[in-house]
Amino acid sequence: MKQIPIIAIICIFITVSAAAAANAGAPIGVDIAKGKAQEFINTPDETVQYQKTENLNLGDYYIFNTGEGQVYVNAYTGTVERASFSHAQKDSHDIRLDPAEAEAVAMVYAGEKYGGFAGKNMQLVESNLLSHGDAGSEYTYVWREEVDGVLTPNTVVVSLDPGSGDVTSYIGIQREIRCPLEPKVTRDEALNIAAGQFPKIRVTDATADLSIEYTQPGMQALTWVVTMKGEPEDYVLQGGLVVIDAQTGDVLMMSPYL
Amino acid sequence: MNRWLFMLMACCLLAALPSAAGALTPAHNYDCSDTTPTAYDARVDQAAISYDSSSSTNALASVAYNQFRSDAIFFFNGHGLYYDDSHKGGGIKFSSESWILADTDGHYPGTYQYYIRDYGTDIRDVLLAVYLACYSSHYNPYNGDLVQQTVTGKGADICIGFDGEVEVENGKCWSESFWDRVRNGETVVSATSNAKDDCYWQWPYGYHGVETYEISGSYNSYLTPARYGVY
Repeated sequence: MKQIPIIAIICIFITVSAAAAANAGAPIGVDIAKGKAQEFINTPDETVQYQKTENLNLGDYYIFNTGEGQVYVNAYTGTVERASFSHAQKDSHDIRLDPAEAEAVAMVYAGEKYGGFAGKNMQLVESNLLSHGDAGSEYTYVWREEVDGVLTPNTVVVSLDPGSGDVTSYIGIQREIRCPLEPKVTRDEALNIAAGQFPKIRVTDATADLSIEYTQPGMQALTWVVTMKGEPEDYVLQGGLVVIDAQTGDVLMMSPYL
Repeated sequence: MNRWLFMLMACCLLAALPSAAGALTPAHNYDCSDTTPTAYDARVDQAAISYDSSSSTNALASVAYNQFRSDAIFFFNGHGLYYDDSHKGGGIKFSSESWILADTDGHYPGTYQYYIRDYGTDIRDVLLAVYLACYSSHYNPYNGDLVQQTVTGKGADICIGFDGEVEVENGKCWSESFWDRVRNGETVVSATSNAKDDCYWQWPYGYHGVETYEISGSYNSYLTPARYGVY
């Protein structure tokens, strides 16, 4: 009978130790994070104000208002993983940079702000000149790291004002890979599973990417991210997005087109 | 004594002003069964900034079309119109195959159709209309352009639509973030753009269509204080 409290204490100790190990240290605190935000935006006259803390599957963030945008600082590493600069959008009605010039500007910025950008196998997976109507236009460049055919969580997104070349927003995520890269479910099997989610559609187009996603807080999972388009029914596009666990074949998300 | 009583009454009247203003500025929010609870969530955020907001799921187009006349804010999250790749956009779908469309050249999707073109000056004092649906800002040769018709054609202050395909989960993410951000004092354009980035790093990674947003009208406006658009 006396053994029960001792076992309980041991269990609590193991749980607390495991949790501490998983967090890899304590949060850096708002003051240090504020310094990192200030350093990142590199404009001493801009006021940086703490706004809130946000907990996402990807990590925990201190968020700061800069007057002209926001900065997201990783609460454990101190790395700035996202920033927006709304004042940079004011000239976005004039397109003065061509796509090659814009990509070069975005790449230089990515190299400056994202540690080890040049050393990773970063693939440009999206490059667009997007029109936002009266709100102007922006170039957006999205890189994802690719390892053995798998898109890792390591990504950089740079959006630019097409007139001035100023950066309007930045996202840069860098994580160690902590899940196996070999899927048990093949691409064809994934496409079949996805098709099963839209049983009545006549498929016109489909894509499937192996991608490591944070499907739960702090937990990486190897997934197939499938998009499937079908012929319209009742004047509505059919198909959508399906996320499948690449080890078990379980459907983790099914999201039809609107 | 009378002077103090008068001052007390004046203070009470001043304190009641924000709620009175809210009562005069209706906001209607619509979603379908796939996209719940986005209409309700938007309603909560709008109510927090003193709009007299309401929400409904699977409403008929006739109801939304008639209420639009009295709205300061109109928000829809549901399906957009798609015939084929050359003819998409210009409409949003409500229940029982009923549609609100920008216009028509003789093509009539569904069973019941209501046209923004027919409004006259009825929606001229709308502050913001948000059509969160596939192709809602795309010009369709059959049924026109919802966003342009709403602002340029009919005089609403601001309208947001999406030029590409948007799917349910990312649409929910964008909506939740957008209404939260305007509630917390961001301009319409800032909230729209930041909400797009809020969605990028949710799983699965990517914008999945929310980056195709288009805004027509006075995009740098705030939604506070609660009010109608400029008539």
